[in-house]
Amino acid sequence: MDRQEPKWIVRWLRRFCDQDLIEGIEGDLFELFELESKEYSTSKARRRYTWRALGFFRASFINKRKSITYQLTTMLGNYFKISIRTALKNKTSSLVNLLGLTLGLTACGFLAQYIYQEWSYDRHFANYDRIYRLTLDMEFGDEMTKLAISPSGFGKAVSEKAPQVEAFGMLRKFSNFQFKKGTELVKTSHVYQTEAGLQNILDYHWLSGDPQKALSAPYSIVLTQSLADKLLINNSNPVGQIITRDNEDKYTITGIIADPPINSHIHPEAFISLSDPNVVNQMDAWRWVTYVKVTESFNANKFAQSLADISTAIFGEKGGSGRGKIIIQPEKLTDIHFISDRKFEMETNDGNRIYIQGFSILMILILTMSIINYVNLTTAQTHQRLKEVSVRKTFGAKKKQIISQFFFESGLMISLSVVFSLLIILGGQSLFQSYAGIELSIFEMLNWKAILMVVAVLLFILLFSGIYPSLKLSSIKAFQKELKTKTNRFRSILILFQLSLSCLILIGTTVVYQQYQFMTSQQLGFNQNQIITTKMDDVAIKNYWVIHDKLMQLPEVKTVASAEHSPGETAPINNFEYNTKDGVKKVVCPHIWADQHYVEALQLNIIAGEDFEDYRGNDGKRIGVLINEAFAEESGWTPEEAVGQTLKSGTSWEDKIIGVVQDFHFVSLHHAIEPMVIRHLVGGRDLLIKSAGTDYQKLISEIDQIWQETAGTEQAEFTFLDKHFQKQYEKDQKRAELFAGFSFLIIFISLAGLFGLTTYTVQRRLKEMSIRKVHGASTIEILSLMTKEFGVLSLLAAFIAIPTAYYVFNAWLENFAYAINLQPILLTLPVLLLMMLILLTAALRSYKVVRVNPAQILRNE
Amino acid sequence: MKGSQLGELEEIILLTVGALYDDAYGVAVMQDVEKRTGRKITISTVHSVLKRLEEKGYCESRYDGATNERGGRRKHLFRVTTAGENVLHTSREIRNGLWNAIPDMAFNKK
Repeated sequence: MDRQEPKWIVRWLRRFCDQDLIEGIEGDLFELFELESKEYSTSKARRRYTWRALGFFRASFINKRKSITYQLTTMLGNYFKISIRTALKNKTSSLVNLLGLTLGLTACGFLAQYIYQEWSYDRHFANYDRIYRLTLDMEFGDEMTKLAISPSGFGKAVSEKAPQVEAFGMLRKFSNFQFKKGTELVKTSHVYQTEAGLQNILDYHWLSGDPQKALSAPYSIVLTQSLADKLLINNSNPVGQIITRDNEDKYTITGIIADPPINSHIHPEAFISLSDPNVVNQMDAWRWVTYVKVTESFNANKFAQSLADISTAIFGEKGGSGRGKIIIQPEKLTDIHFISDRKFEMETNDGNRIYIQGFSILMILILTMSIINYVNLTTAQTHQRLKEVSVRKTFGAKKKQIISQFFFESGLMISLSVVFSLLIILGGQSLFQSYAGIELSIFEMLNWKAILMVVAVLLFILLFSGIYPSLKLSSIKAFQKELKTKTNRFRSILILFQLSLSCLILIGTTVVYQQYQFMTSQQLGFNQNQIITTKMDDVAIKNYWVIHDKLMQLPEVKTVASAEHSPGETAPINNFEYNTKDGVKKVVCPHIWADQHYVEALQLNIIAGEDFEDYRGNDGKRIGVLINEAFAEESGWTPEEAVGQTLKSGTSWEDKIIGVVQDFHFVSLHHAIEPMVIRHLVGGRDLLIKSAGTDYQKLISEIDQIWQETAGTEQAEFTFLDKHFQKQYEKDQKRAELFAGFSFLIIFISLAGLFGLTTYTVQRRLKEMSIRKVHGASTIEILSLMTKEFGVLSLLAAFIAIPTAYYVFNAWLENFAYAINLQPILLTLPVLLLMMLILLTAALRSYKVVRVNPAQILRNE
Repeated sequence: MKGSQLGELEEIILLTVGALYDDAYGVAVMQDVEKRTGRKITISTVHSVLKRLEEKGYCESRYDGATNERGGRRKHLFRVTTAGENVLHTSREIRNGLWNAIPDMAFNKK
């Protein structure tokens, strides 16, 4: 017999089938195989054999004694039943477990979204890992100025000289463009100028137009979809249309891109082409941000070396006006959002890795707390389940089986929590997204990697919550009456850990909150209240003094001022030079233009010299400039010395300093105050109206009327300066609130755990306490006995948490330009509060013991 | 009574077991059913039905003595029990009754 039936399927069949049937089945299969071997080819017969054998894998042939599946289903059925019974028997602890896990998982689900959005910044660009932004560190004497910007020809020069650079891109931001839509003006704040090759660096999603050619001709513009919707009257065929800026420049629309994702360090509304393509060959106009794309065989060390050489080649060892060496610093594209806080950033990079780390830690802590709760409550039940495990063992249960039983129980609990938390997450999704400022949808985040992560995390939770209880309970010997105290000690350690962390978190929340309060209540150096601002168009600017005088006639108006750039905006940068004994020195700093009422409107303090004189002409007559204190300090003058000094800029401009204003926060408190120059200009684009009263509705309608009589546009948009300024802290506030919310969640989870544990202690010590009561123990004595353990543990926790908190949060506060002091009260008060809460929780639960009638408990003995 | 009812395939196989008398095992039943009714049924279905019949008590089974055929495996032989006989009779009587109830007119239309 040289023909062989396929053996493997027989082996499987033998394992699967009932022992009484298998021989007959095998025999029949063999007989048919032999019959068919004569009829068909061997391979066909074998195929038919396998196919036939597969037919026997059905439930009716299953081997009940040996089949793993069969045993598993019956065993799991039993485990399930027991789990439900235990859970129902201990309602409090089951509820606490379920609540803890559900809340924990829900919180993690939300936190993960937040973390994901922050992490994903700029990762949507195709070659994000090969794109670098080249920034410059500039030496001035002993000081290093870190710039985000570089000269216009820098990118091209680098790409020609560095072998590892494949392409370059450059951007310049205009924050004040207004376009005409019929008679209306449409404001934009993020228009970027760029050369033609932008698409090679930052690949946006083009809806129409040719990405490679769209930005090559001067006065081309590429709009985002939303700006196109806002700006164009006929939006059906945008490419080729011509739009007009408020200064009558005309731009041809050459493309439309989809709205760029929110998670990027720039948020362009439109791109315009270079008006003079030749600027890429020039080394002046330090207003450009330069990006390069490096080759795939990129070597960071070599690149740094070649950049050093290139810097010397382009900028020389030393520049004029006391400038020293320039060091080119490459920044990874994905790092910009987090680390870059240079001078003249295009947009504020408000990301911070600390937040991602902080929230990740928070996430882990929440999970840890829920797991600890689970472990504590389950091991506390051990004495209850001694009998059950004993019986199982007597009937021959192996240790492995007991372990799997308790893992099954954890798994059941976790699955239930997963279902609940999924429901909560789905229900609260839109609310959370709008609250936390998350703009990615949940489906954009759920790729297979994310799903894999979620599954891994769940398995992790299962492992950690199941391992201790199952090992502990499975090691019980049949007929064992009591457990060793080791379990109790382990539980105490876990509680101590939980309490210390809770203390730490509560202190942390307090410190973070205080710091935030401090930051928002910081003196800005000017009065932002009661100021209404609006933008003026060319017609309004021409008629500025008419508007000014009419507005001033309103009784509610105190001051009217005009300026180019109001506080909270990014001011343009300029070089200012002045003569000293040692030659010409230079300060690179922001400057703004303002008229003679600006200082009065913002209530700035002039500490030396005087304000602008009341000069109404718009002919650019030099009537002097104002500087801030920081400028004087940087130049080494006292404010008094500064007055009368001459500042120069470029080849033709020079003016005298006539006054010094006290430092004020022109931009947000995230930034330390920089030197600043205020130049005189009548009729800047920003109109500031300081109101005397608070009836803004009436005031605005009056202003509106004057506007319609005098200005070109029909409607002006009014904003309040304080609101505008507050906007900069919105993200901070959200973070602080999220942080606080999740911290309290952690504390709540651990308190709930203690509550559950006390329930057990009460159950176990009911008789003991009843006897004590019979012997005359007072309520206080019983309560103190019941809460002693937690009292001692929370005291210990305080001793661990306070020094740790001091160390950690001192380090954290060092990150801020303006920080609070860590006072003892900040550290101790939250801990005291928490201790009280803990004792209260324990006492509340223990009160049951006090209330109960001892006779009822003891009569069964 | 639930479970005592005979399905159509069950009835055919039980009858075949009776017909084969002492040589009713899987392959033989399968081939006989095919020969008599023209129905092709798989061997696993045959086994499954035989097992069900045995559980219901209409069949009993034993293993044949060892042979060298069939790769050394014994035949799993089935035989109809008294209960099986009874249920076949009942089934037949029901059918006969029904046949008798049909008026001649119904089938002998001309």
